[in-house]
Amino acid sequence: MASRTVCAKRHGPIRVTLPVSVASDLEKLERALANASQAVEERDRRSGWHGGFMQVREFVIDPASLEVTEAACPQ
Amino acid sequence: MPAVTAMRLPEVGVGVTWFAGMEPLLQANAELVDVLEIEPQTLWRRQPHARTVAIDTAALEAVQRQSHAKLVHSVGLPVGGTVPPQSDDVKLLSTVALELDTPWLSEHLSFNCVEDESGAWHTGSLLPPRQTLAGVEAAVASIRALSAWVPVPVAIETGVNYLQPRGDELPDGEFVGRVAEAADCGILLDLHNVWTNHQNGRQPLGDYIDQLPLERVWELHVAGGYYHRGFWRDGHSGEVPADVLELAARIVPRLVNLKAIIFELFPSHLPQLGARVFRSQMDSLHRVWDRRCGTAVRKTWVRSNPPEPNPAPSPKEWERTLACLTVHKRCDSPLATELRKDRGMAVIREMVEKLRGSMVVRTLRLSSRLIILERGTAYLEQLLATFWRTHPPQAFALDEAEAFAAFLREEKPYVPFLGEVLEYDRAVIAVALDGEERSIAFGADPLPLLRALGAGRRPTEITTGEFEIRLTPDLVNSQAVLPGMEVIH
Repeated sequence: MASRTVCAKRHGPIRVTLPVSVASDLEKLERALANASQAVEERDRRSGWHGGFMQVREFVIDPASLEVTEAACPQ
Repeated sequence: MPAVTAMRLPEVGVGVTWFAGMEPLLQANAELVDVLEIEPQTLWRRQPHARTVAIDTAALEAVQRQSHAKLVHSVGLPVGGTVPPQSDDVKLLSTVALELDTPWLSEHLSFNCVEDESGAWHTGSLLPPRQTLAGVEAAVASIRALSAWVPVPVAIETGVNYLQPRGDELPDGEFVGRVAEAADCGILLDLHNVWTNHQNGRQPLGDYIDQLPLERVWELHVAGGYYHRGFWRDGHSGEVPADVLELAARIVPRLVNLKAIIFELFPSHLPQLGARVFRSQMDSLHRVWDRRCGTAVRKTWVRSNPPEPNPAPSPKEWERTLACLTVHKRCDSPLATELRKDRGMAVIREMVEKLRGSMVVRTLRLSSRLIILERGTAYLEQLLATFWRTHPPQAFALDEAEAFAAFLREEKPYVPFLGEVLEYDRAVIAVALDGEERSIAFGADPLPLLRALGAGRRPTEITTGEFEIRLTPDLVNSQAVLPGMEVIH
């Protein structure tokens, strides 16, 4: 069995809002999560390091387009 | 009395079992499908966190939109045993019958529920009843209880039976005939079931047919099956065997009150069957349908004279023993010893377990994949086998999945991330069913984890941290997430 890579801990909680119509369709889920991963990586690249302070990042998946946007004021 | 009832029933023609998403097939075969047969339990949904069952109105409306005549064929409230159908379930059945304007409804002459000191429990399958005069009385009482609640006449379906025939029971055809006469109901003659029984060593077809009051047959079922481990199985899995079609062609002219012929097919087998073969099957059934004639050929049906009208075991003891053996509950009676030697017992168990396994795998989709990808298929099968030995079957996939999830939480098998993925699977179902938002916390990044599982790959690159998936309700076909009650029949 292939080994698993466990990477360093991300700083700050990440919350992804996923509509259940996407969650229940494995093909859509795969595409939506690929988009979400890309959005998280881009956000990390843009914002850089925050000195370990907690910072909630929230991403929302659109059920129709499966595109991912970052929520403006995450709670 | 039965002739009068039957005369009032409309001829609805040739049809097929309804399943969600079959609209294109119906459109392509519009002139060949007169009637849709609906299994009402496929429209029922167990409500999460409640012991109630409700009708999925979206699924019901999808059926109502079809212009075909509709027949309701119940698969979850059998009337062959000593435990009559429960009133809450019968109310749901009545609602569906009224909503779909079915001219009659049918149910199986089998049992699927037993009562003992632990209460009432589900057997996971429709099981054959005790075929004695006491068994006839029990079935008649159940049919009367059902008939008293529902707004349309009731027909009983002739069941499949993988057990070998017994010297102390009435022959199959005679048992059905006696029940139908005493309960004054119709008969849904499932020719594939009767043929399957014959193939597996039970009553010869000719004898069976001769023992039925044929004027009570309102409906025929035909289906396909397959051979497995020395038994022909009633699989609803494709083409109708040529022998069954030939039998149908021979018998239809004798069925003066025949109102419908239904081709039973499980949706998962349609791609394998193919549109062209489906069409040719429907075409064949129309040729069979055209062979009916309106003149009754009255024949006195054959009845045996049992030397011992009510031999032991009683219907109750029969049902409890068969149910216990089916679900691996402990049972040490002489009947249990006898039934354990019957090769048909292994077939019954295997079919129940296959259904239970499919309920778990289709409901806890990502969790099952995770277990298989991390530990292998054999390991999941081993977990399921242990689960089946300690937990009785559930009628609804939701209950079966919840019970298996609880079992996994207790067993704590070594499968990384299983706890979180289980919670995610459960939450997807719950949100789809009740429309309430749910959040699942993950200690590992759920994006690559769920993405890999969704694509059927083992998750290999995982980042630890604090994550949350918030599942929100939107328009979703709950049937795609969680099918209704599933029954082997």
